[in-house]
Amino acid sequence: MKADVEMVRRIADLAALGISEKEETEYAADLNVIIGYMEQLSGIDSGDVKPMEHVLPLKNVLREDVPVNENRREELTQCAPSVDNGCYTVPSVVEA
Amino acid sequence: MDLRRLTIKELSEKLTKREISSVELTKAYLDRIHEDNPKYNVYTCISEEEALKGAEAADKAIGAGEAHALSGIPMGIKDNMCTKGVATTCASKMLQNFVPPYTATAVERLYSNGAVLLGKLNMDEFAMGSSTENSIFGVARNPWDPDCVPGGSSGGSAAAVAAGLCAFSLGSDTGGSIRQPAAFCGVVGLKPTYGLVSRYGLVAFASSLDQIGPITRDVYDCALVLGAIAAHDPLDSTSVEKTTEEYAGELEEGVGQVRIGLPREYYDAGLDEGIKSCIMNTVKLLEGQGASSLEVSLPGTPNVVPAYYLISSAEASANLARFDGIKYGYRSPNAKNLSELYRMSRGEGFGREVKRRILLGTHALSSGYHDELYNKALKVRRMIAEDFSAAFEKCDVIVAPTYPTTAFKIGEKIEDPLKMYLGDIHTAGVNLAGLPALVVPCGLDERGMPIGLQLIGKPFTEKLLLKVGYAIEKLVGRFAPRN
Repeated sequence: MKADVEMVRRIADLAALGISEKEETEYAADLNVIIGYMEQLSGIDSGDVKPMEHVLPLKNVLREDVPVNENRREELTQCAPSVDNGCYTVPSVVEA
Repeated sequence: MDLRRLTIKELSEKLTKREISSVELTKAYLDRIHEDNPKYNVYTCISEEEALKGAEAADKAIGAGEAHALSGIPMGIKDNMCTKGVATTCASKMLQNFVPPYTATAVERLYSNGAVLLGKLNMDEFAMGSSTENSIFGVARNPWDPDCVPGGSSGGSAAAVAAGLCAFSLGSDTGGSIRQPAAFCGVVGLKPTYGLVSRYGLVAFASSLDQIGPITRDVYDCALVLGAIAAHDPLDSTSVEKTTEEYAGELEEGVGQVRIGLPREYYDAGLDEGIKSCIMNTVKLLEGQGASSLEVSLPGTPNVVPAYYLISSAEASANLARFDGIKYGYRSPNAKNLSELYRMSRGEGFGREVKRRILLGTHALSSGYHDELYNKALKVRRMIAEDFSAAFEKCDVIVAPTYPTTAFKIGEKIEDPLKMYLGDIHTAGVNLAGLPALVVPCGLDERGMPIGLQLIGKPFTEKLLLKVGYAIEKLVGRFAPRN
């Protein structure tokens, strides 16, 4: 598969990643080489090998449902770039 | 006497005998950091106030006869582990102003063992890189040769220990990020078995691969720090329920009749001859102590880099989706609507390599490519893990190179991402299989740059790796840069 500017635009859109036209061209060239190299995996006979998402046998970890969180609203909202009246602010979502 | 060259063990003795105080020791380190950090650029932030407070508390504890294993010892922490009240930036514009409201469990355990935080250490942005050149704070430099990289992504953590700018540090390792910088800087670095150390508070890169571990001046210190940070943590659901072990106790027992496996594929063409002969000489020395060696095969080795980069980038693209410019992190001042806010904050906040990996990972997970790329990589991952299991039927530890070369020059690879990725061939398989691996220096190359030997073990055999590493250190000695 050949990576081109159109493909980079499509995946940048999926990733909500704003990139410039110059970056689009650079990433298309980079990804072309990188994905081209990774396609060597398609030549491997992996037969009925099961995909391995994780090295540990993952299981649900359960615990008693005991409330532990104290109210840290102020402390946590201090990390945000824009807060009003204890709430995160964002640009208008609904058009007037 | 130069306090900055002493090990944790040596410093602890001086502290408990009251020959020095932790405040004196901490001030000596801080003075040296102010003097030398401009040369090596290893610290992203110096937490002077917290350090002195911590040192005073440690002196009190020591005075009251309540000293812990690390009481009063000054440390540095890679800047991707949360430290309450001290900036945690991941060397990214995205988190440049982030001061976490909580502390990572591994760091919290070091605090409760009495360690003193000097500051946060430079790294590749979001731990993506092998050279610490992808940092908003600029490139960190190798104390053995400032024109060379210290390795990465935990380059600041390794270089700070080598340069005597902290007594030990923590790094994180997703595909080799503790081991390769430890090798480049001539210090000891351990990537523990997946699940042994809590990842709570570590800014996630690739969650199925990430692991926190110590970087130290010698193997004894490594065992000591591992003992402090390894424990079950209910806040990390992948943290294993093992009882805490004592790692430093049995180091002097020797290697016994340990069977060493030498993976044929790791010693193929592409490996620097000087590194190969240095490692083989070290194996001969171990044989003189009772060990035996044999050739083993890891036939999936050529597939390690593609599988690793597909899986780690896919996980990264999902993990980094949380950076949306709203709850924390950088927000673009230019966005006119919500969609633009996401796109512009992420586009302006993330650096070049991070964006490259998000694109690669998003592509690998996207409709039409998921099976061909991501799913295939997961199958290959199992094949790679099974190669290790088969090798460990014949041997107890694998002795391998850490990287195909010693430290390379700044700028040498940064413009060629694939060339940079290919260097991970000897380290990333360990992460894919979740194994522990210890890097110990075993000599210098013809340029005088350190060579790191990598010991790989079965899951939860850290004790054995440390024992063999300790034996190597006794045989070949320790290494430190001249300055």
